[in-house]
Amino acid sequence: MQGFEKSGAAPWSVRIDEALRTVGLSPREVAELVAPEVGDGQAYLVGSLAGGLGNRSSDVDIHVVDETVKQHRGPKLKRLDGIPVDIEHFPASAPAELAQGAGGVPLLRFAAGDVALGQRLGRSEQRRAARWFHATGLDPAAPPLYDAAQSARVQAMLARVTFGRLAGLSCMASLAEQAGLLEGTCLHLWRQAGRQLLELRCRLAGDVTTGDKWLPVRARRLGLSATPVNGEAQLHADLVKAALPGFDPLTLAAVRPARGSATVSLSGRSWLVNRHDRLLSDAVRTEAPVAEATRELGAARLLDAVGRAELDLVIEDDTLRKVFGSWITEK
Amino acid sequence: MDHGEVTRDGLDVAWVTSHGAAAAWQYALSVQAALDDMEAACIEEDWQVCVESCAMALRAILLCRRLARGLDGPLDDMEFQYVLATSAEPAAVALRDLPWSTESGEQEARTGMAAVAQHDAALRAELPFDVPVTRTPTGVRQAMRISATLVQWRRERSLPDARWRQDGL
Repeated sequence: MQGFEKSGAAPWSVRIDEALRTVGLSPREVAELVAPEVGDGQAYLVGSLAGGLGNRSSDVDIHVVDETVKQHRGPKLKRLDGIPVDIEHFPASAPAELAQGAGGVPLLRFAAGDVALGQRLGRSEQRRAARWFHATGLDPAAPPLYDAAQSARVQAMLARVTFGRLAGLSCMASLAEQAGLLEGTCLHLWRQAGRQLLELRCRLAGDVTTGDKWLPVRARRLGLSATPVNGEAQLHADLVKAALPGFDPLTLAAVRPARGSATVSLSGRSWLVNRHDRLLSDAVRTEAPVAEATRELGAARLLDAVGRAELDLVIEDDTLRKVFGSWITEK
Repeated sequence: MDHGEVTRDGLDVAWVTSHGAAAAWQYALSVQAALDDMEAACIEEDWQVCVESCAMALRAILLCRRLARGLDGPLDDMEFQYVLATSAEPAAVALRDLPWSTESGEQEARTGMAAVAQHDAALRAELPFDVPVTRTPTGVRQAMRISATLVQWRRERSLPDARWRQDGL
């Protein structure tokens, strides 16, 4: 693996000087720039450069963890030789607290790697967890933000996020076929599901770097093949090839009334106001497994309800427990 | 009527300071970043990353269009994926036409970049103001001035402060 070396804590790590050389900077230059912001804390390079990726136009993302910082601050933008340097501050306890959330949760222990149940990460938490996983200290003596056990937890939590996306997209692709939607729509959804499978394989292999655009590079350096998925049979075969269990997409997903939606009444008429503040007169409020909801509404109407933010399509932990019960390890 | 449409009657200030501005600031957060990535990948002749960046740009363009139409609120992953898969918006059609990145070379990347340039130009023409490049010090200052003006316009009209999205795609 060019540019990579095993470290004591994170499964993958990259040397700080190599990472910054991508944008033509040295650790010393960056350390001098951020020194006024660091105080008694520690500065870490995070993001694509820390993940061994990036190009000459990449930003330099710095996270400062500091005992005296009580809550997240930033980003503060500085520039060095024309290169944007984003600096954010976090309480020193923040990385461990995020990883702690996955302590004691059940795991789906697949042959390809672990998927954690019981802890759902929001968008910003996912991003932070991934960044801290691959963080590299500007000072080579800085300790890693995660030890080996914390890294394993974070990796399993991020794998859960991707597994959910993979299952959700597979379900929508399958429903789109049932509904007779355009071939381009079905193919797009299958390809997106295949993309999530590739992302999952990267994460299970120890590369959790965020940033969609880097996926082909990440797969390539891990030696993962990445052919486009064009249907359920191929997705199933690819899952098995990746040492992951095959599944029926329609059995994993459920629908429920969309977050941020509510029923309202106006002049005696009932409406649903969705999270986009749109009034919908003919909305559905079903809460059921997708297979059951499809029998009730039909595949086309069900998908339409997801697209109009009447219903959310979700992959619940309880369902994963039932379907993949034999892989569960209670920790 | 789309309030973002320039008609003989002009642009609706309430739209400009709410949904129009939301689309413009999202443009700064997501589209500009994707365009930078696309150009950087092209310079480095990394055609796979270039195609990926084209996809990011097209997704961001579609999000901006939705915001311009007032479809703000939390972004749900599955909802947005379904919209990307089914929307008849030209940017969504172009996204679905992109090749699989790992099978892409220079020709596919340049075709993707041309599509992005076309849809980017169309979007910019519909935004209520020229969006400064916010990754530069000058651009940040310009953006702050625009933002202050928009806030002032809303207050003059007794409109509540707008909550423009702070996070990109």
